[in-house]
Amino acid sequence: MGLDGLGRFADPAVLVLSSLAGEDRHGYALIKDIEEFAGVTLGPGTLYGALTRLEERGLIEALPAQDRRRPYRLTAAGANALNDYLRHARTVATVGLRRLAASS
Amino acid sequence: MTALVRLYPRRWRQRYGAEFEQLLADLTDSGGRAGWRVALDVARGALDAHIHGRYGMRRLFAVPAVRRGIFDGVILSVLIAVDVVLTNVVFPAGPDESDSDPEYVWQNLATYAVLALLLVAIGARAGRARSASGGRMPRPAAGAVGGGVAGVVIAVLVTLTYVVVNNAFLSIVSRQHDKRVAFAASGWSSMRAYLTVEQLLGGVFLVVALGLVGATLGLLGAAVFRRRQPQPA
Repeated sequence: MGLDGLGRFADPAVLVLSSLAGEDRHGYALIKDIEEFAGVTLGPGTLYGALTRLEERGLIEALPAQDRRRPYRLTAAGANALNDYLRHARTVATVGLRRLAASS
Repeated sequence: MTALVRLYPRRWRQRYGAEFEQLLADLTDSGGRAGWRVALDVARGALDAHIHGRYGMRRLFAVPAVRRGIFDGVILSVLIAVDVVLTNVVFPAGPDESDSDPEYVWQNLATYAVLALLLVAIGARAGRARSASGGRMPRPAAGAVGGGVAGVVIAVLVTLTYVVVNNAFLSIVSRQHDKRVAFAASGWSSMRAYLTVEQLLGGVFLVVALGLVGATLGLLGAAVFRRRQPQPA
C-alpha cells in the first residue's frame, strides 16, 4: 500500500519511517530523534496519528512494551515504501534545484 | 495531562492508551513544549482518531442500519428542502397568513404524519438491511438506529436549509406574518441575525427530538417488519 493516499498525513509518516530506519524507537525517542535530524517537533497526537496509520498499513510493527514504552520497528514493506518515497523526492529536488540554478 | 487520553475512542485507548499516557508523562517531565500546545495537538489527534482509521467513525459507517439511516435521511431531507424553498420562496404565503390558520395547521399535521410513516418505513428498511448483511444487531435495535440516524440527519439538513433560505431570500421570508410578529417581540435589531440564531437554537432541539422520535418509530417499523416475516416450515 505504501504511502499513497496518506495525503496531508504523509509528512509525519515519512519522518517516523526515516527515524525507524535507523533503529527501533518508542514514542518519546521518536520525537527527540525527529527533532534532531529534521528540526521538526512532532506533537504526541500527530505522532500517534502517524504511528496508527503506518501500523494499519503494515509499514511498521509494534514490539513488546518495555515499562509502558512500546518500541516500533520498520517492516520490509515500510522500508520499501520509504525508499520509493525518498527516491521520488530526490528526483523532484534534483530537478527543482537544477532549474533554480539555471534561472539565477 | 495524561487525562487527555480520554478524548480518544475507547478501542484506540485499549490499543495505544498505556504507551500514549507514558509519552505524555515523558513530555511533561522533559518540560519541552508548552502544555497548551501539547493539549491542542492531542485534541486534534483525538478528533482525527474519531474520524479516520479503524478505531474511529469509519467503523460506525460499516453498520448497515447507520448507512441506511443516513441514506434515507438525506433523500428525505432533499425532498423537504425542495418543499421549504417552494413554500417559502417560490409560492410564499400571503403577508397576513399565519401557521396558526386552520388550513396550515392541517397541512402541517399531514406533513408530520407522512414524516412519521416514512420514519417507520426507514426503521423497517434498516431492520431488513441488518438481516441482509447478516449483522449481529437485533432487528428492533437496527430499526431504532436507522430511524434515529435518519431523524438526526433530517433535523441537521432541514435546519441548514432554513438557515440558507432565510439568509439568501431574506427580503421574501421577512414578509411572513409569523416571522414579523416574532421579530417585533424579540427586541433584536437585525432580522437576519434573529432568524439565524433562532433557527440554529431550534435546530439543536430538533436534532434531539427528531433523533428520539426517529428511533422510536424506527423500532416500531422494524418490529412490524418482523411480524410479517414468513416463518420457516
